[in-house]
Amino acid sequence: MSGYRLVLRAYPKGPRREELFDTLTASGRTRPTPREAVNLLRHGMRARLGRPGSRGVVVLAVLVALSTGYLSAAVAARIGWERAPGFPSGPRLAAIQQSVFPGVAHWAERDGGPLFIDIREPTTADVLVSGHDEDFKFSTLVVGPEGRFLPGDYRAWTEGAAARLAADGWDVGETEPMGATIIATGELDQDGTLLTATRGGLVMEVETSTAVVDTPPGSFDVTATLTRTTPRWLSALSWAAWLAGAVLGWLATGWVSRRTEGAGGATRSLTREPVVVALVLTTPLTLLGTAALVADTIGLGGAGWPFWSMSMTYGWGVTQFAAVMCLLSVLVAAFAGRSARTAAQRCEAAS
Amino acid sequence: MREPTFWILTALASRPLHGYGVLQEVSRLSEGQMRLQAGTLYAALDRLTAEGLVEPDHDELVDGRNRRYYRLTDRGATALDAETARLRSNARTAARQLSVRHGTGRTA
Repeated sequence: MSGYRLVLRAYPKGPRREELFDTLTASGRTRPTPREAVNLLRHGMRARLGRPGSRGVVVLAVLVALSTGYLSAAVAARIGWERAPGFPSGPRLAAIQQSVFPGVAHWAERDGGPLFIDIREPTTADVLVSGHDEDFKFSTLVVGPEGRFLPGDYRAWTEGAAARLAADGWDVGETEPMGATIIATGELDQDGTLLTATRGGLVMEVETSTAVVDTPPGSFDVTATLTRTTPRWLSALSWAAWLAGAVLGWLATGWVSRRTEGAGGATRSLTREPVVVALVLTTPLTLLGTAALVADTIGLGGAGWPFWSMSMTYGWGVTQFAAVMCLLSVLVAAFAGRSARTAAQRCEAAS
Repeated sequence: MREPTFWILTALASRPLHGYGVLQEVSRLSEGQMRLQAGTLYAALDRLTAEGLVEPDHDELVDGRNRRYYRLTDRGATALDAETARLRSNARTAARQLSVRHGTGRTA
């Protein structure tokens, strides 16, 4: 296929492709320059929306594409996490425990399911009906010494733990002082520390405190919490799905728009208004979720929540409603709209 | 009116042209200053057709391919007239201001 023919597939099927091919090759060229290819892709995708005089349809298509891109990325990431490496276990976990708590008996416990925490422990069907509980997040693996408390000074112990972790190849961050803030002075009444270390897709937060109830004098409470970072391949998969979803959303908007271009006011209204309502409801979730995906990809995430969590908790109801609205729009276009090609053929016949 | 639109309407003012003809005519009339991309041209033709400023004139079969010609409508000619008057007025104002600067004109 010639270079031009390939790029012209950005345009909807119809005589315009031939017309453009004729114009482009009239000068004797057979391949588009990069600038020409970008120009054709851009205007071809715009032509797929139909309604050349309307700017509203472009705004609508951009918002739909952002939403469908985000949803596709969320679905891909959710499925992808099933293939992500699990928490360390066996000798790998024992080595980590030995590194943090050398010479003492220790325990390890996951605080949720294999991937996520939802205290209701819903089935897939439950999730599809009512979404997730508001505390939905990634599960963590908590590790600690038997009996919770270790004797000695927590500051000195934390320094030792940081050195041991660094020696074992962990990337150890600054140790933060922890404790209550005295309201009158704004000073921190330090009673513990927080040490963060990362290695091979794991983040470990080691927290010490002397403020835990029943802490024996001269001892401190300590736990190490392990969370998994998003693997690079999973971020790449999410973005690939985002792109595919965005293109599909754009093409679907174009299909509905061109199919109803010559339709009556009621049909046009019934395809446009439901989507506008859906977008008003879901665009904030889309923007928040996409921002979280960006943050997760560039390593600013780590809050412990999946980037799509808002849509599955507080936003699940509106997401379902928006899906029904979009479906309504597509169904109206399918049954009441007219194929763009049929419309074009009728025009040709009439002229 | 944006510059590409102005030049497309200008190119079609004297006679109907097909896509490549418009590109060549725009380049010739603007003395090479305006070089339209084909994608931009057809997007503009679609928009101008929707606005009623341009319309398909006739189709010709060349080397087995259909070649569509476009023409300026009366509405398009009126729009081009209005734009020409606006540009002429702007140019006159600029010339007057410059003549004051160069000291060759009267001051108000």
